[in-house]
Amino acid sequence: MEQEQFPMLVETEKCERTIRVRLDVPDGDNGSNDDEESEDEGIVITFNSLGRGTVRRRASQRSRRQPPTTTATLVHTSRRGSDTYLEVLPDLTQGVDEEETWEKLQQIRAHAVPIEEKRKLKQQLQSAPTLRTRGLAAFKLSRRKFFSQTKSRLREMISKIELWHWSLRYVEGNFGTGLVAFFTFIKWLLYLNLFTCVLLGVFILVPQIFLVHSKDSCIVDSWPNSVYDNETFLYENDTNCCTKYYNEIQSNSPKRDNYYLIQLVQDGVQGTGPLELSYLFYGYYPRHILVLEVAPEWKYNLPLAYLLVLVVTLILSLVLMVRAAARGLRESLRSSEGQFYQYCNLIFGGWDYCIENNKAASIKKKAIYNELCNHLETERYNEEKEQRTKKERCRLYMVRLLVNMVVLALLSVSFVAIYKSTIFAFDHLKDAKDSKESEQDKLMILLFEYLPSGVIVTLNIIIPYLLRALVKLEHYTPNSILVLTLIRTVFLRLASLVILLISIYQSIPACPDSKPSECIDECTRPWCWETYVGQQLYKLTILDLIIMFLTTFLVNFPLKCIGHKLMRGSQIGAAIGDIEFAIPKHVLDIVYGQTLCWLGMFYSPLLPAVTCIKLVLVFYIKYFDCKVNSSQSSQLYRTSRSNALFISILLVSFIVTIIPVGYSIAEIKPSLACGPFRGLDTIWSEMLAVIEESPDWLKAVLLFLGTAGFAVPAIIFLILAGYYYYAVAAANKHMVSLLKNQLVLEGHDKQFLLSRLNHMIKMSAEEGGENTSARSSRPVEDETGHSNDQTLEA
Amino acid sequence: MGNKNTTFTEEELEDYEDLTYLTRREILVAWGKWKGLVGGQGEPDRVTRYPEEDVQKLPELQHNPFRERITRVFSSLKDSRMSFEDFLDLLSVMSSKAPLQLKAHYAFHIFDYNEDQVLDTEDLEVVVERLTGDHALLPEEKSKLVEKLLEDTDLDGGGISEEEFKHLLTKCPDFTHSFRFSV
Repeated sequence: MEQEQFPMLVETEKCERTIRVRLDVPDGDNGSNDDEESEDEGIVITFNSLGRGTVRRRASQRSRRQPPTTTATLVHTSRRGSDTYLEVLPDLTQGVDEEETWEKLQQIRAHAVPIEEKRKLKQQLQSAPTLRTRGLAAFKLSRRKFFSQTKSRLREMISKIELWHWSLRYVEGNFGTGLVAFFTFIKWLLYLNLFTCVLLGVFILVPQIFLVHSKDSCIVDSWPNSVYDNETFLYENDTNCCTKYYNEIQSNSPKRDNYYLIQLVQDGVQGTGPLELSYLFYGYYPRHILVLEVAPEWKYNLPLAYLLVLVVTLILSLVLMVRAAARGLRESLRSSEGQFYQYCNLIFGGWDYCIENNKAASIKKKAIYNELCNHLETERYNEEKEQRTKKERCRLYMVRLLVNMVVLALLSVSFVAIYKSTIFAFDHLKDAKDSKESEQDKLMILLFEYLPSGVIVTLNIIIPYLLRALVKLEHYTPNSILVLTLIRTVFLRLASLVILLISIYQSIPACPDSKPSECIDECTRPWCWETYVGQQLYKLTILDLIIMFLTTFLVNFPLKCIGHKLMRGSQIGAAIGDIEFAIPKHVLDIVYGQTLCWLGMFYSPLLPAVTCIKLVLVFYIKYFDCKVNSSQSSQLYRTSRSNALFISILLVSFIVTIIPVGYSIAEIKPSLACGPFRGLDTIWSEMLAVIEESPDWLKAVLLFLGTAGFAVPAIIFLILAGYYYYAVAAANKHMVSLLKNQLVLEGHDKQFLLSRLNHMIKMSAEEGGENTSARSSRPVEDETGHSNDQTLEA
Repeated sequence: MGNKNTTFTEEELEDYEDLTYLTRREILVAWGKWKGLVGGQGEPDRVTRYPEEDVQKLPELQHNPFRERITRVFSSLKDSRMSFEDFLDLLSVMSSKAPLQLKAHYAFHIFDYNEDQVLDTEDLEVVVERLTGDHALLPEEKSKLVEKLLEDTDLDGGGISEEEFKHLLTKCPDFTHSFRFSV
C-alpha cells in the first residue's frame, strides 16, 4: 500500500513549514487494507515533520472542498491541538446509491472525532446526490434497515429486563470485572438449566399431566383390553402386580403423627414419603402409550420420549458449552502467546474503568502492583531456573515427585474413606431400619443416612488446605500453582462423587439366583432403584444448598463480625475477619451442583427445575458473601482467563457424568416395579426395539452406525482432521513471524521516507528564503497541478 | 424514563442515537447524570462548556488514575472544558458496543502523556506509576519493565505508534473487557 502513495510537497511558506498532502490512490475502491471490518474504510495517515508523526498546519484552515479528480478524497479534517488528524473517506461525488449511503451512515459512529464533526459528516452524506435504488435492491435495502432497527430495539428491551442487572453493576463497580465473570457464569448456568427444564417439561411432564393411559390391571389371566389400548406393551402381568404392590407399600408406610412437621421437612429434603411417587422421580412415570382423552388417535409414546429427550438434552447442553468454551479458549490463548503480551495485557487492560469506589480503586492498584511483581518474579525465576546447577535440579525434581506422591496418597485415602463410610452406613441402615422402635435407633438412622455426605463435606474442607500447603514446596510459578491446585481439587470433588455412585451401584446388585418373575429378590434391594438413585442425588442437591447457606450465614458472617467489630484493629481480629472471596473454590461449588443435576436428570426429571431455583438462591447467597463478608481480594482475576477456566471445568465434569449415565442406560436392568422401562432387559433395548420396527433402510443405516466397520474409519478420519488443523495452525504461526519481520522492514522504509521528507523541507525552506516576493503568502487550499510540485519517491 | 422527557426533541434523540453507540434510554440517563454533575447553578443546557473538574466527579471517573487525560482527550476544543456532547462522546466510546479500533484510538491518546503521538519511555513510566498508585515499584524495576515492554512491542524503534498500539491491543483480550463502563 505504501508504495503507491506519493506524498507530494505542494507549497511551502516563508515563515512556516506547511506541508500539504495530496494522495492519489490508483486502485479504484476505497483503498482500505488495514482492517477487514467495514467500520473504517478510509486511510489514516499521520505525519510529523520532525520525522515522527504529524503534519502541522495553521489552526484556522479547514479543508472541505472535494477535488473531483482523485478517488480518495480529503473530506474533512479535525483539530487536535495544533496537529491535524486526516481522515480520508471515499469520494462522494460519483453518485453513490442509497445502500452505500445507508451503510456509511451506520459507520459514522465509528469515527474517532467529536460529535460536532460527525453531525456535519452526516449532513454531508445525507445531502450528497444519491442514486435511487429500485426494485429488488430497494426491497432488500428496506428489509436490512428494518432488521437492524428491530435488532437494536430488541436489544434495548432485553437490557431493560436483564436479570440481576443492578447487582452485577454493583459488583463491577466495587470489585472489578474478574468477579463479575463469576456471577455471569452463574447466570449462564441458570439459562442453561432453564432451557433443559423447558425441554423436559414440554416433552415429558406436560404429556404426563394432560394425557391419559389405561390402568395397570393385575388380573393374572387376561390381557388388558380397554378401548384405549390396542397397541399396549406386551409384558408379563406379573410386573403389573409388582407395580401394584410397590404402590401399596408406598401409600401404607407408617406415618408418625407426633412429629408431623419434622417428618414433612425430612421428606421434603430426602424426597421420600409422598414425594417418592410424584412427578419428581422416575418411578411415577408409566410404561404406556399416552393418548388424548377426547381423541384417542393421538398417541404419544412416553417411554421413547423419555429416553430420547434426555439424550437430546445432554447433546444440546454439550454443544452450548463447547461453543462458550471455544470462545473463552480463543481469548485466553491469545493472551498467553508470550510473556510480553502478558505485560501489555496487564498494563493496558489491567485497570477496570468501571470502578466507582475509592477502596476498590486502591485495592485494584495493589492487585496490579502484586501482579507486576509476580511477573517480574517469574522473570527472575526463569533466569534463575536456567542457572540452576544439576544438583539443585535433581533435588527439586525429587521434591516434586515426593509431593505428587503425597498428594496421590491423600486423594486415595479420602476416596477409600468415602467408600467405606458409604458401605458402612448402608449396611447399618438396613439393620437399624428393621428395628426402628426405640428412640436411639431413630437417631442412629438419621446419623447413618447423613454419614457419607458428612464425610464428603469434611474432606472437601480439609484437603484443599493441605494441597495449598503442599504445593508451596514445589517451587512453581504462581500461575502454575493456581492451575495445579485447581486440578487437584477438581479431582477430589469429582472423584468423591464417583465413589458415591459406585457405592450406590453396589447396593443394587444383580443377585445370583433371582427368578425373573419376582418383583424384588432376596437381596432386598429397593423396590425401585432408579427412584432411590434419584432420591440420593436430590438429597445431595438440597444438602449442598443448605451447607452453602450455613457456611455463609453461620460461619463467615460471625467470623467477620468478630474479627472486624469486636477485635477491631488487632492482628488476630484481622486474621479472623479478613475472608477473601476465593473464586476457584466458589466455582467448584457451582460446578459440583451442576454435576449433580446432570447425573440425576435421568432419574428425576424435575431436578433441573430444582437446580434452577437453587441457582437463584445460590446467586444471592454468594452475592451476600461477596458484598458483606469478604474483604477485597488482593489477587487479580482476569476476565478472559476466568471465562475459559470456568467453562473448561464444567466441560470436564460433564464428560465425567456422561459415563455413569451412559452405563446405567446401556447395561443395568431396570426395576420391575416402576418406571417407563420396566420389564425390559436394559433401558437401551427400548431404542433397539424402535429401530427394529422402523423401515428397512433406516434400520440398516442405524445398525451400521453401531458396528466397528463404521467406528474405525470414523476414528481414523477424525485423527487425520485433527492433524490437518494442527499443521495449518503451525504454518500460520510461521507466517505470523514472517509478517512480523516484514513489518519491521516496512517500518525502516517509513523512517527513511520521513527523513527524506525532512531533508526536502529543509532544502525548499532555504530556497524559499531566497525568492521572497515571488511567492504568495497565503497557501491556497488543495491546489491541483501547481507548478511548485515536487515529488518524493521512495 | 423514556416517554416523558422534555429536553430533547425526537429528532435530536435520533440524531444522537445515530452518531453514538448509546441507546435512547442511555442518552436520557446520561442527561440526568450530566445535570447532576454540573447543574450547580440553574438548569444546564447542552452547549455550555463546563470545567473538567465537574465532570471528573462522575463516580466512574473519580477514582480512575487517568481521569485528567480522559477529560482532556474527549474535550473537543481542548480548553479543559467539556460540553454535554463531549460527555456523550465519552460514554459512546466507553460503551460495550464500541469497536476495538475506536477504543484503541482513544486509549492511545489517553496514555500519551506528552502528546507527541508516540508512546515512549516517559509516557509508559507515568502510566505504570499511575497504575500502581501508592505501592510504587522500585525505579530500576520500573525502567526494566518499560524497557521490556518497548523492546517486544515496538517494531521499528522510536516508540509505539498508534498503528502498533492498535495491533498490540488485538493481542490483549482483557482490554475490551476492562475499557468500558455504562451509565
